[in-house]
Amino acid sequence: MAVERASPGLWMLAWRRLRRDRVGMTALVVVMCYLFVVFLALMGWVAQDWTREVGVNYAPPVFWAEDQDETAQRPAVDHAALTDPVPLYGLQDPLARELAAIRAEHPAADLAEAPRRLSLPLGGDKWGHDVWTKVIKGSETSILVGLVAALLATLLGTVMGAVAGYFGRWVDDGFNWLYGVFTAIPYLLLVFAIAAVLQQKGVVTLVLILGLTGWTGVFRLVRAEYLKHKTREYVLAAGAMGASHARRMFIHILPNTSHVILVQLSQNVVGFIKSEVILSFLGFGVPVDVVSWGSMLNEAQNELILGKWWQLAAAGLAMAILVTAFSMLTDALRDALDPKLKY
Amino acid sequence: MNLTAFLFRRLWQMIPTMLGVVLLVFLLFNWVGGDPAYVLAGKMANPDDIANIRHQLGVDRPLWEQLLIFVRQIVTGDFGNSWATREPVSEIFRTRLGPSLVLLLPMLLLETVVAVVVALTVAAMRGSVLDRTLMVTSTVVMSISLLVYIIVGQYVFASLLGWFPVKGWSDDLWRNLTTYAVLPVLLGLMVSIAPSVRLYRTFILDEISQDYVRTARAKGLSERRILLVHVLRNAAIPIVTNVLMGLPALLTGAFLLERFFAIPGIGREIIMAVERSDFPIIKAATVYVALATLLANLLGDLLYRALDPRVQFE
Amino acid sequence: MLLSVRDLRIDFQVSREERFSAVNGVSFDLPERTTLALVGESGSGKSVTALSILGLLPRPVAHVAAESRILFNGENLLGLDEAALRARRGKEMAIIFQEPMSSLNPVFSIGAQLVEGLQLHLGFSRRQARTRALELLAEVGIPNPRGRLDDYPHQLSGGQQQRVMIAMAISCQPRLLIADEPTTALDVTIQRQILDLIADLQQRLSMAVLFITHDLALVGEIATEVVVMKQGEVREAGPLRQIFDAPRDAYTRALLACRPPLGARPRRLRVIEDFMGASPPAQAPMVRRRGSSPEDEIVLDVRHLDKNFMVHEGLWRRRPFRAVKDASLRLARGKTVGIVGESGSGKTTLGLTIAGLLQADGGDILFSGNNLRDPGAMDPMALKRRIQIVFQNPYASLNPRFTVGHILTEPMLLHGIGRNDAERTALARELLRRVGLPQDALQRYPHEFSGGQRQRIAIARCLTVKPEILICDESVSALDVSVQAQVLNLLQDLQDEFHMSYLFISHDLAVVHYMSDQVLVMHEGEVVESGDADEVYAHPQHAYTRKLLSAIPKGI
Repeated sequence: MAVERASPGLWMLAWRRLRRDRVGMTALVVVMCYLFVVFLALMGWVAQDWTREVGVNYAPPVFWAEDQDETAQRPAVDHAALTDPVPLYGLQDPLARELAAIRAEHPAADLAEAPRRLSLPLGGDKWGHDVWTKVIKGSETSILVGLVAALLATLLGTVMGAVAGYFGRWVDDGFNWLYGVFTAIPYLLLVFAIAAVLQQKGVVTLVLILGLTGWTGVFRLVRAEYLKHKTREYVLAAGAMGASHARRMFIHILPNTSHVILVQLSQNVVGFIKSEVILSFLGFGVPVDVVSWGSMLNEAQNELILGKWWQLAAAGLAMAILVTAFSMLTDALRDALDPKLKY
Repeated sequence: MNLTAFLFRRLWQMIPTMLGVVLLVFLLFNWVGGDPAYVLAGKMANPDDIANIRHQLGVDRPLWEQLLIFVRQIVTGDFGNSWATREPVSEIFRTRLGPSLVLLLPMLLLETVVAVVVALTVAAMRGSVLDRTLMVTSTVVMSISLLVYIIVGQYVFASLLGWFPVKGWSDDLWRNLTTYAVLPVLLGLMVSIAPSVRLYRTFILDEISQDYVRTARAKGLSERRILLVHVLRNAAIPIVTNVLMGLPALLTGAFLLERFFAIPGIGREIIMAVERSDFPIIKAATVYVALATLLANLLGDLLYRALDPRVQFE
Repeated sequence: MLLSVRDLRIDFQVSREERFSAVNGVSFDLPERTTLALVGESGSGKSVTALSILGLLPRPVAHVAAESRILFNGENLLGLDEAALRARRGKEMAIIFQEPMSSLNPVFSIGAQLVEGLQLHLGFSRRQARTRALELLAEVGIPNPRGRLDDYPHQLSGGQQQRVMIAMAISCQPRLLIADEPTTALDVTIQRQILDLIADLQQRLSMAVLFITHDLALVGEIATEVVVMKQGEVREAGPLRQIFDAPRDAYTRALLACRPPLGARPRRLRVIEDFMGASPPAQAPMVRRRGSSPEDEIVLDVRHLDKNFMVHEGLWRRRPFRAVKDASLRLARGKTVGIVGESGSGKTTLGLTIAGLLQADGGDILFSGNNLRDPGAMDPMALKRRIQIVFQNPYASLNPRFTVGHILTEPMLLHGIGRNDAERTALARELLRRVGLPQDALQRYPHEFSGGQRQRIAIARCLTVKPEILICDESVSALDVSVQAQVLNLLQDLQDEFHMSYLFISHDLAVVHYMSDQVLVMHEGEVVESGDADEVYAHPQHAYTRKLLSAIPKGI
């Protein structure tokens, strides 16, 4: 028998095109690094102790601190500043009362007990939490929320789009009506409305809100793909062969729309991360005991006025790098999977 | 088919969608959300108060009756008073619409003009270093959160440098446009221009690869004329549609910009309503913005048909 | 000499590392007031050559070699800068393309598009230009030009759009008109009119015409000089009669021989290999007899079939569009019924309805004693197995995500043919051999195969379920003529071997004649004429059939 040569499938060809794309590969590596960190954090191997107050309050970043110490000879911020008015602007720390309450509740974590560092790798926040650890933990939350919500939305959109596009007629009318209803209300407004109604906050709630409202984009594209493919000759031929509807929908057409779905999934992750950040920033997202990029930015907003820019920089950069990489990866994926190059 | 019949049919088709929106909002607030009386009464409520509030709100009646009340509210435009401020809901929307528009109309206008000009320029030089640099830059610029732009921008340009007021609003349109709206508009543009440029660039590139461009070249027309007349006229169809689809966002405003710069617009009002669980405002906003969206879509459709001779009113 | 192309070499940058040579040392001469035909199959580089003359190649990816020359009026066009080239484009040399619909700007009126060139090159005022545009429209045979000037391209038929393209091209009275497959997208009767128009204008305006086509038959109608190209090279060049009567090149001979002749019906068509091989073709092919006789066993009897599509009209009303009206046909075992018609004649709809892919709205389809329109008549799976269909587009008819092995074994799996995977794979391998494909094709994906090979795979897929009726819906129309002949031969061989009945649907009159025992001529949903193939072609009864037949180019 002749030796049979297996040929590369379309996925393999797409992967080869992606491999040649230097920007795309760099983006992929960056995204993988983030996902790896998320995995480590999820397993509890890193950043588990982000609530520990390891530094002095507003401990500056290491590289910044040295510089300051040499020039200004300023002592590290006094512990008493926690309850004192902040001298620089004459403002009262708005959370001072709560802090005092927390300290009263947890006398073990009192400041005097553990020696606090005067500077931290990326600085410390108001309580002396390590910003570096917080960024890792915040990345875990934000990326997980984005990823899981995107998976949920993509799954919903794909199934609904496939059914609507394939069967057409009244089924399509029904799903189109639902699509019309959900797109009539601007996305953020809809999310706000649901957040207002659901009184309990939580990561799961957040994922559900984003996922259940965010399926419309995938639906529209997948439906269009199914409308196009169901009259393609390979699908007609499968029908003429006696392939069932389910077989034509999911075994024949679905793999041929997968590039659209994958690109949409990737886009959704970025979109949902951005939404999560805005929601959490406004306080409609993750609960107070969970740190995310959004909640960090919220804290950082007040810190910046005091000149403490490091938490803002850390959260903003962490998010910007991931989102940039993800967007570039999406572009690279789109090019690599371009069906125009397929035949 | 003529325009009136087309309009009539499209308006008729909007009814089921609008009913869907009403039903969705109703289910959300009157069924998923549980009893609003507890929200309204707050922590210090006693059973009598709650019963009283329930009666006032009508939530002690059967669901279908509540739905009827809701529909009546929508039709009459009377959503009662804000739970938080006691101000009539209709009054709130009437007074908050202006500032939102003052902020967002210039933004939409600038965004469109700048994005189209930039997109045309890079499309003309597609594949060049400038094109690629600008595309990468736009990805990076898009990836930074609006929050970061606002926080940093407000701190640097308003607090530190003092070029603009940190926040505020006046009753004078001109003063608002030239003083208070400038920084928010610029910051808003930071995030909204880049995606538009990329989108319009693909619209233009799609047209450039069409056969009729080859015909125009074969006629001996200059690249400039081909781009500005033949290509732009075709690309204008999706661009105009896209701009019109962005119109409803004007009503909700830029939530974050209005909040940070204390601009008394609808976006800020909605955020405050969500914070205070002020349901009448959220319900009214959702329903009316949905209605406006549908009307904007219809307008987009009309313009699309006006711009594209291939599409008839049918 | 008006145009001299010398050693033209054009490369395309496919990717960063890869270059593809599209034109490789092409030279030819076009004297004034002559028509030269550039003939070749897909990939021959004929269109690239045409575009390079006008400087219309996609600039960043196409590279013209430095030693190449394109002399127009003694001036090397390749040495001109963009501005100088622009001044000549549309003025001294003009071009028309294959797809008139997409070649016209959809959002400008045809008047606006006609005026543009006149204003630019001849400095006409708007008013002058409009008057001239009216004259031009009249000249290319657009009825009521005044009423048409402000119409948009989509309001015109395909033939009229091409006339507008021609009007634009001749507006500045160019000395050279390049026609790049100008009739390929048009129906055969329209093709005839456009050909006549171009020939007529060439005489009246004393232009030179460079006519680019894949169809040798057309060449005889219009050209006096012929250049045959294959894979970027000139195979043969010379005066028309010399090329047709005494071709020297084996490829030219093969191209001339592989089109089915209308007069005779050889047992098998000659293919490229017959000529390109070491040994010359052995003997004249035997003649095949076609036709029907009363003893034929009828397997498929279609009676008064109707198929409507619903089209929206007005506010809420929907009106049926009658795609097939009262069509009847009888198909005998082992025989072929050809269905011929132009686009929109309903021939494909009829095929799809018989295949069960569309639901009929009236009439009966009797298939071995069952009425297929009667839902409970027959096990649907058993029926599907017995009627199969081969589609037109070889690029869309195979699932690009499946290997060929998967494509071939899936139907067997669905119908329970073969006891296990090994058996099914063995069967698939046997079928691949039968349709003339290598064994290792089984593991490969469709994108690695050429159009002709894909059509063979599609045929093999039908054979897996051993159908009694095979519907060929324009199955060879998208293929180059040389490949067409191979696939037609394969279909004939398979029919002889498996005694299948064919429903052969095509717009190509010669191919339908060659393949069919009986012929149905369809026009606007109706069967206007039917009968034995030879009889219908020799003595057409219906006026439309006569019109169709007279439009066939008989250049050879």
